[in-house]
Amino acid sequence: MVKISNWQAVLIYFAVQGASQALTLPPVASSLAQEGSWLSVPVATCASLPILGVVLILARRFPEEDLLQYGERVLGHFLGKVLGLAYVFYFLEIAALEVRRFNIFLTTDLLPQTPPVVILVLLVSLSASAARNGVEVIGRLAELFVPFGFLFMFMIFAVHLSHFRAENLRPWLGAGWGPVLANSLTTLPWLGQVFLLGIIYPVIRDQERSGRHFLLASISWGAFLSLFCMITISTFGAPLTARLTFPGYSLAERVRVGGFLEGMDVLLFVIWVTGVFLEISLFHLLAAQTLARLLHLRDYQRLVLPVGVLMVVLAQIMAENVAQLQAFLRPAVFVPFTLTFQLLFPLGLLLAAWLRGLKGADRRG
Amino acid sequence: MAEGEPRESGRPLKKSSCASGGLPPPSARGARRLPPGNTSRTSESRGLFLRRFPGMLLLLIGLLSGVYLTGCWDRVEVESLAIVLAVGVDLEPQGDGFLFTVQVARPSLLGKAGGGAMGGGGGNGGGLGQTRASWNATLPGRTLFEAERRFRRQMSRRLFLGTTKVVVIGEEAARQGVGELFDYFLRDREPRFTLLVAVARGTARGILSTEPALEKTVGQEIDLLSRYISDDSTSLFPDMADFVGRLWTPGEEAVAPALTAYEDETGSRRLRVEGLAVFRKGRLVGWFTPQESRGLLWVLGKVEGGAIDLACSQGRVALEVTGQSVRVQPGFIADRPVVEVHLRDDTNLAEEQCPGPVFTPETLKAIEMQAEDKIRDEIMTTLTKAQEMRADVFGFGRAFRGRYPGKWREMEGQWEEIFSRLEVKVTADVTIRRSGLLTETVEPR
Repeated sequence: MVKISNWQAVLIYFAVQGASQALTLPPVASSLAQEGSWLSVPVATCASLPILGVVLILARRFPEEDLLQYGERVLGHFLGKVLGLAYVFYFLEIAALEVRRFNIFLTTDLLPQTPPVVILVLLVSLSASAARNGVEVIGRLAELFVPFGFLFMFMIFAVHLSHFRAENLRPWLGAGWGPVLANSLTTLPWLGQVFLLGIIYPVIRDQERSGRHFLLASISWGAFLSLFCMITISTFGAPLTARLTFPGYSLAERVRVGGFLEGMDVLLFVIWVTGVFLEISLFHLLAAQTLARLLHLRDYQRLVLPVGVLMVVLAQIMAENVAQLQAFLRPAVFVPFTLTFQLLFPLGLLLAAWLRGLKGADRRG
Repeated sequence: MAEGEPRESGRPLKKSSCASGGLPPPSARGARRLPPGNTSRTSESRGLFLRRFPGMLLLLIGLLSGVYLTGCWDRVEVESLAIVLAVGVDLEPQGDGFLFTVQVARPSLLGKAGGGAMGGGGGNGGGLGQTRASWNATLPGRTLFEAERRFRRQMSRRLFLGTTKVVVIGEEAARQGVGELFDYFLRDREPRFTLLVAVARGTARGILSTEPALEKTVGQEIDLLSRYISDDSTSLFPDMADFVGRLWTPGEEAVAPALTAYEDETGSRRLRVEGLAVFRKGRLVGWFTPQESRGLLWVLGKVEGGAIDLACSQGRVALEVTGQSVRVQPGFIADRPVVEVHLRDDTNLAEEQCPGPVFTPETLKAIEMQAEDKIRDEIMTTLTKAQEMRADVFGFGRAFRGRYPGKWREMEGQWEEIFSRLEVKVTADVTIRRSGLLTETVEPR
């Protein structure tokens, strides 16, 4: 069986997080908590740790099996299949959402004349090829791209740190913790994607150390995102930040050092595209694999292209405009939607497995 | 990758399906047997990709040909762009929308040595008959976007705003309010956050049609002026992100450099920076003279240079500011809001024309104290003027908001009123660090 290392899994996780948050920065996208909105990142990170805990305990119980395998054992044939189908839908939906946001960004800012479908088809055929080649390839690509991503981001940070405006961050808790907690709900669905680490757990080589790695990954992403949000708010001030469609991108655009260093936005875009590619590849792979398992196919590869077509189409029809998309992403809708898959189902599975005393086979040697 | 090809030959049936369809139906993709040649890799899926390589290649070529054959949609040739250096916004005379002025570079003349620095004023073909390195065009529109699109009627190139260095707002437009203007510049994808904001005394169009003195275009000239004005510290060039950020931030009013046109000895209209334009709630409410502007800059901590002119026994001394740190401390005395401003300034002795020994610790101390008084006076003068305009350009309200969020909520509604009577205490601490290359001044025997 193809295996990846903990480090690769962590990098894939960073790619997923970076791709979904680096441009839009969900924590600062609402004016709810104003200057203190970056504080909702640590809050949401803490809130996402139980998710990680649940999926890890579950994954450790069944270290060799994937979700659908133990799902069927724990819940029975029918319910297990329903659960699998639900997850296929979830992976597809999130992938399509990312494809759509990618599309929105490109047509808004970089390639307004290009028919979006061309870019989407190119992106999804690339992700299809990555998904066909399996998780190992995605892991290696993450190893190749993600460190550069962080390098560029820290370059952008360094430039902005040199004229950090602390007064833009005060008061931290102008209206108390209430708005900060409420605002953390906009971030939680994204940070909750940490549950993916539990999903890919069976393909990890050194499972004994996974727990520590994943915890560290989760916390360090939280720290990185807090810093990102802090710098963005300090640069633009909370009111303007909340009104920007792509605060992260605007931050890179504002870099101007002397007369020679400008246009970092294109750099950010380059690393963001690789992140989106990795994220979509992962969801592509997960959707195809789960679906193949569901249909009792011996290999998932033949499902990769149909799943890709579904992704492109779903991305096109999921919302008429940005406002509709935003309505879907508002906490009242998006939090229950994601938490169902990130926490509720794994928790249910774990309880059922515990009650029925089911356990996976121990790892060989 | 090329060795994938011969391996295919073992399975003629499947290969033909690749060649004909480009995208073989999933049913044709069975046969999970590894070809005998492929032994090295553990991953079966990788082998599959290699075996499908011709098919994938065909797919890729098919997709890319759509791009290559028709040309990229977003391909932009520099020659097809009208490169905008500066834009100006005025009110339409009938009060119906805006007058949008763009200053477009003429790259062929920009390159020529000395090309357009002198030239015919405003297209009237005066001067030496040379045309300018830039061309101004003005068109009306209810919205800026409408006006911008109207330029297509008279421009052979696509207007490109990504290179815009500065947006100049006409006095009247600024008085009416600038909030709605910036919607366009922020929303549109081309203008960058780093573009500078300035206010014209008179019309923006008038400022943009002055003759650049040292640069080839007014746009470049304003951009470079903004770089060196800090040596004088009598104005401030916020970029768009800063300016708009201030418009939105409660307890802080925006300022922008005031640009004014003047006539030099040769009769040419030139441009200079003259203090600051002061806004209240996004509307222009008045101007600061250069002197008053520095009073504000002291408090904002933006004084990076500039002369402090002082008297000594029988002459003048000039100190040059080299570094500054400021602490603004809001507080309450008997429930009355009070602000304390502490300044620390490092200075150099830049010039002194005082007979007698000056270069002693005691005399320098006396000069320092004079300078402290002078700075305090400058700040208080500016404060009084700002209080008359009820425009909290110092951001004192914001300091209260940061420090006392609860009390700020009570004060916020009447902040302008509170600010106009706000008590501000200024303490300055000036230190003379260096004296240049000379100790005592030149005194003929």
